[in-house]
Amino acid sequence: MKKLFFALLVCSLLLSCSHKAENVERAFYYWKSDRGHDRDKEEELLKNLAVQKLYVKFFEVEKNDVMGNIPVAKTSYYMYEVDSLDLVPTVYIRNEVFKNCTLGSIDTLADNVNFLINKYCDNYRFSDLKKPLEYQMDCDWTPSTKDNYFYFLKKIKKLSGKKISCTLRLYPYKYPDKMGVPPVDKAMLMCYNLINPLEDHDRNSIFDIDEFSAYLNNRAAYPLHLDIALPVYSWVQVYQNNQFTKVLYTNTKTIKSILKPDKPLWYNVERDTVINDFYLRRGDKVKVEEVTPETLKEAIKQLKKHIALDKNITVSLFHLDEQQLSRYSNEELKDFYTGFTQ
Amino acid sequence: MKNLKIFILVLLSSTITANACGFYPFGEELRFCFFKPEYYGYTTFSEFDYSSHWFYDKDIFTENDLPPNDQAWFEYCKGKVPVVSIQNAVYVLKDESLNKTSDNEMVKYLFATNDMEAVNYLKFAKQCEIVNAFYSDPWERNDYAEVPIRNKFINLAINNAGKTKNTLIKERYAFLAIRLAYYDGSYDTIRQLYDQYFANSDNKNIIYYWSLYFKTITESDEALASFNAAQVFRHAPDKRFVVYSSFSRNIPIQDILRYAKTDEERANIYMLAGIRKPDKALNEIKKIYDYEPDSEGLDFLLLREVNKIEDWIYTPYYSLFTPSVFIGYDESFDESAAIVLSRVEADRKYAKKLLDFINSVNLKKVNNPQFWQMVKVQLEFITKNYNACLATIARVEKVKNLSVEERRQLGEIKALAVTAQQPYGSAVIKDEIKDILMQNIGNSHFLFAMGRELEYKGNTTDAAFLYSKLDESSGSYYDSSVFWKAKKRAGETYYDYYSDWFNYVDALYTSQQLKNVIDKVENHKKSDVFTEWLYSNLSGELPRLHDLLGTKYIRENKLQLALEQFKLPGDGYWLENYSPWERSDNWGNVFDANPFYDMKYTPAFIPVKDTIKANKYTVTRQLIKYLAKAEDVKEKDRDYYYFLVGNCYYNMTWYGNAWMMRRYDWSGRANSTVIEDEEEYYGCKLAKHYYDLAYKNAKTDKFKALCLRMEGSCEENTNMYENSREKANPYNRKLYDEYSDYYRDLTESCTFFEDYFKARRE
Repeated sequence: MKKLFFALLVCSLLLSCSHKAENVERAFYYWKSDRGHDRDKEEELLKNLAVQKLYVKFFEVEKNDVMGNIPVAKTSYYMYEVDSLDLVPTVYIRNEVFKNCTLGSIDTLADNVNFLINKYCDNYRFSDLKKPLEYQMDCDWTPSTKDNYFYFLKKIKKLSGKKISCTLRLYPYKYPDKMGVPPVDKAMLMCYNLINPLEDHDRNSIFDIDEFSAYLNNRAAYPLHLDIALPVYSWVQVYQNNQFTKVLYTNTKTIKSILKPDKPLWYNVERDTVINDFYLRRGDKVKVEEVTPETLKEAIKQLKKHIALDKNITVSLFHLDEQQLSRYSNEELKDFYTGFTQ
Repeated sequence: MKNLKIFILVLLSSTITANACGFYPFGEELRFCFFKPEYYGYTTFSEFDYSSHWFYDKDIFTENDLPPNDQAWFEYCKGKVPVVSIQNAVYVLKDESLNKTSDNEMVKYLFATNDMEAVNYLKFAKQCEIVNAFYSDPWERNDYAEVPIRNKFINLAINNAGKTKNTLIKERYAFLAIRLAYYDGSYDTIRQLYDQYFANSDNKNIIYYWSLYFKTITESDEALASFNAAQVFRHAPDKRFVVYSSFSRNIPIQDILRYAKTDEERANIYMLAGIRKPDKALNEIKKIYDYEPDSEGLDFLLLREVNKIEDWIYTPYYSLFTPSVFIGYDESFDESAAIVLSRVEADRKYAKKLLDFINSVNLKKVNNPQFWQMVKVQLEFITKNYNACLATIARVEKVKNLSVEERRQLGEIKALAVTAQQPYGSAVIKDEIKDILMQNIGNSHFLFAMGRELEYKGNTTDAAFLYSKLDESSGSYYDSSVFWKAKKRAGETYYDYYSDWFNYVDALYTSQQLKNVIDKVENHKKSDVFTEWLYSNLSGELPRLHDLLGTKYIRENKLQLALEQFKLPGDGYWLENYSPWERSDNWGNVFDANPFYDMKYTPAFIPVKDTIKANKYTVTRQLIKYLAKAEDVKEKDRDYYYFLVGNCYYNMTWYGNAWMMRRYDWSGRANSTVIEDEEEYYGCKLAKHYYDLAYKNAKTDKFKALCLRMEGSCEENTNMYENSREKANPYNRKLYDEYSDYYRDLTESCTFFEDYFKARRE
């Protein structure tokens, strides 16, 4: 009885206490494929935040009717003043790629992906960064594509000889039995994009704390080392004639000067304005989705509460974009890293 | 508004100096061509028009031409479907639109005749289109990507070819398979399919030659590949551009001829051999005439040969540039006028050989005898056989069906021949050709050639009038721009060509030649339309012409004549026109500086004692006045006036603030020109002469020392011009030896000049 009481006590302590990490490696995702940004400011930000690692999306893979699996949205990374960051080449692969395919075609895909990553790593644009020790694969796999994707992950590991990490959405995190556990060295838990943006008009599709918390209440620890990715981006969904028209990536602080609040998250456009070559007209409705520092602090608290973090973890902010990040102060951004060790 | 004008002039002047390190005319900008290919309708060969450009892919079918594939489908539909419906069905409609409900006449015809093989073929061909191309490898491993579904289409095409009963459709499937195999790199498949479906075909239609084209690409036997290429070139106009390079220039033509069985095949070989020759192709032309005199290709090759000869002769003869198409026959690349013109004479002899050949042929045998007559006209003019040329023109002009362009073409040559025919010294623009010039107002190359003919015959006056009309073309850049050189060159200099009348007349015309032009303008009375047109530019430029003539007199140091010319434009002209780019404060306001008292880069020189507003007229007037005082033995301040005159002459050189008395632009690079006073402009000899007279008339040691100091500067410039910088400077030596107390003051700083000047009196 005594033993049982002691075990329950330990267990309750474990469940209620905070699992803070001891060391956080500061990271960013670099996801852009175009060059429309202020490189100097982004380099300065990386230095100010003492960022150590950069996950650079090298390309995406999609299925093409004529050409088969092809890389698209290839990186336009160009920063030359960042010293010795750890580079993690990252590849986003559309789930369709793994539907109705043969193992032979996956072998070819893995070979091509490995070839192109290597080719880009040798490019002068990456010469200031350390040679990568890790590749990261990003795919929203489903039960039907799980086997093919996992086969691919094993294959890329074998071909590259690198550590392989993959992104992990909250759904497969919560349901490992159904979604499988990817055969990788570690996973990056993506704490955003929890809701289909076009289906739930009342909630923030980038991040909703209730939805988020609901995914975290796992009893069992996830059987992989977990790193954490947090959202520091925002967007504006435009509706014209009550029809969704476009997503605008812009400074949400600035755009609010032409908006009049309607209901939570929703605004009416007050003045005709051109943003990113898109003509917003008076009377259009927009849904502004952004994540406040307070919400992210709460998210970090929940993560520490529910996940047994390892001593050393990587926390990566998604994504490095000077315009988007202007909504946060440097102190707030630093807090997103240090929050895991406090 | 005035500021805007100044800004524009500054901008324009900056483009002039920018030329020195940027633009230099070449290629088509230089080429002279009067025998325009576009006048004669050989459009399916137009990708091979003679040009300084590389051959390039063009749209070779005009609205009136029926491309061979369209013709083949037209015949397939037994002439019952309009061509426009065929083109729509074959090239525009999507595969799903090829159904019974279509309102396209060709689709309706095929369904009406129950020709499902043709319908299915068209659908299949459209489905294949997406893989009928090379795709760059998105994975960046190779130049081209492997396209997985292409194999599927190849196999389907082969299967369909096998089971289709209609021979024409069967061949089309086989061709599709061949083309797909080409993009797939499967050359064995190409060879196999060609052998199976086409090698023994009696029906050598466009599909046959298209297939032969792909077979040619796979051919390892260079001679056979060349033979095949020549046949494809002849029969598949739309493949000419892609196949011509499969014809080898490196193997003996006899090796290629071995494969030919008919005269037409032999003619085809010589045709492509001729197309591939950048140099003389008379031999090929003769051979084609022997084997197939009525071939259209022969006409085109003749046209191309005339265009070559035009470039070899007209371009250097008129512009003195080397031919626009450089074919590497002159390794020394000596561009001197003598070399360039000596080649012209050699090329005229070649033109004579071509003319002899034309005269020897039986025109009844050729495809277009009238065209051959046009060629004859060109060659007779080129070979300076003017009487024969004019006689041929008179004969050809009587032909009723000549096009407007052909008549204009004949007119151009007639005008040139009539002018060139005149003896040296008495050449004029004859009445009989004035209408021709009026018809060619926008044809700058022609007008320039006319000007050159007159100039070469000694009539530089009328030549100047024609040169003044060069920039009136509203047509293409080629039509409106002419660049030329002069026989008189200025050694190693980048800016050695002319592109407008003023610069040419400025550099090359003597003062008498220019005076003749001015006299003609001034004596002009209103008359006919031609004369009004010819005079219109120069009549409006009279003030500028007087300015230029005055400037030439300054160069000749004929001050009184210069003064007379500078007086004529009036104050308004001088206010608007002198070195405006240097009037801005940012540039030192230098022309407004008085050249008698101010010195460039020397803020404290001598005090200004008069109030003239500097322009060419006032400076010349003052120079004459001061010179007269200096030379007046009764004048007590002769040294003073000689010194002022010396200053002015110094300032009128490249080094001074009144360089515009002698030149119309100034460059920091000190470019050489052919202008007659180069030695004075860079060597400052007149300034030295007058400083020396000031020295000799000086009354104090300090002023003498100053005169020597100025002479020393002039001497340095002389040495620099004569490229003998190391030469001893006797004036500096004398200054050092005889006025050693003043030497340091005068050589190490400019701040003492004023003191030394004021010290000219005890």
